[in-house]
Amino acid sequence: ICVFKIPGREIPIVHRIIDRHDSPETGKQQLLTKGDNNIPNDRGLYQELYINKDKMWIEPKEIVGRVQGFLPYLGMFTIYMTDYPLLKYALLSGVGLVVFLYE
Amino acid sequence: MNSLQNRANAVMAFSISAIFCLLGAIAFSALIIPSSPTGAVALDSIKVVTGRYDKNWQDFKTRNSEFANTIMRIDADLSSLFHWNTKQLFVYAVAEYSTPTHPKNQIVLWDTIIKRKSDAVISKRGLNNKYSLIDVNKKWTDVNANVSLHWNIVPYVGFMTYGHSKASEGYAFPLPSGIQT
Repeated sequence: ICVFKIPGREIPIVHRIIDRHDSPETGKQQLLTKGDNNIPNDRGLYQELYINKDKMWIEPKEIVGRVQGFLPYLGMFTIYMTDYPLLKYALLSGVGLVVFLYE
Repeated sequence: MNSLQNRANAVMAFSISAIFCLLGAIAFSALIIPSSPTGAVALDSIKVVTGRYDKNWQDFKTRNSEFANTIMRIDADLSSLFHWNTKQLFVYAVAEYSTPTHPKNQIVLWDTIIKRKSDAVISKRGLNNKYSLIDVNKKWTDVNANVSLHWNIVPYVGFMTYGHSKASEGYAFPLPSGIQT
């Protein structure tokens, strides 16, 4: 399972590689990915932008990383902060109050 | 010294450290559990058809791309891979072959997700490949492919691990049978 970014899209995608074709002479490797819960492969995602109209494969240079393991719910803190900005302001003002009143 | 704030701080720090130690113990202990999975894929028949359209193929420009339709049988016993840290198993059958232009090619023919130990014994006959089997060059002349079963253990906490069975012996792809899609 790898993390890749399609040129032109800023959000990376974490999907599994299901096809691979290597050609060492030209140094190219062509890869196809698919999300485990999706029925079609990711070519619809590759070709979504007009500049990528005929893109059938991704190359290793578009791969940013690889999934090594899981730490569930570790990102929920950041998600709550961005989804409820009031929580962020409350936390920051709470920290400010503590610094001013207890020192 | 023993104000509410100090006590709350001490409790939070200790519980967070304890939770991370527990998660670390689960993650590392799952690496050393012995397991003995067995699996084998065999192809009962291969037919090559030419055409423009196939199961989930997107390039409709070529009129006679060669697609291979296979009938597989899969036998596997993966129940020993289920332990306290297994969330699910992602099992997939891979065909591997080489052509003159591309020495190494791997294509996933079929996959499934297993969520319970009681479902982990697979014995399937007469399966069609779930995804189009087509080469980059869109031709299957002179290709010998071997198939194997791969699995990926998705944990609750910890590291993703992979495994696979031995590769079967090679299957030769026949000539296109004249059926058009």
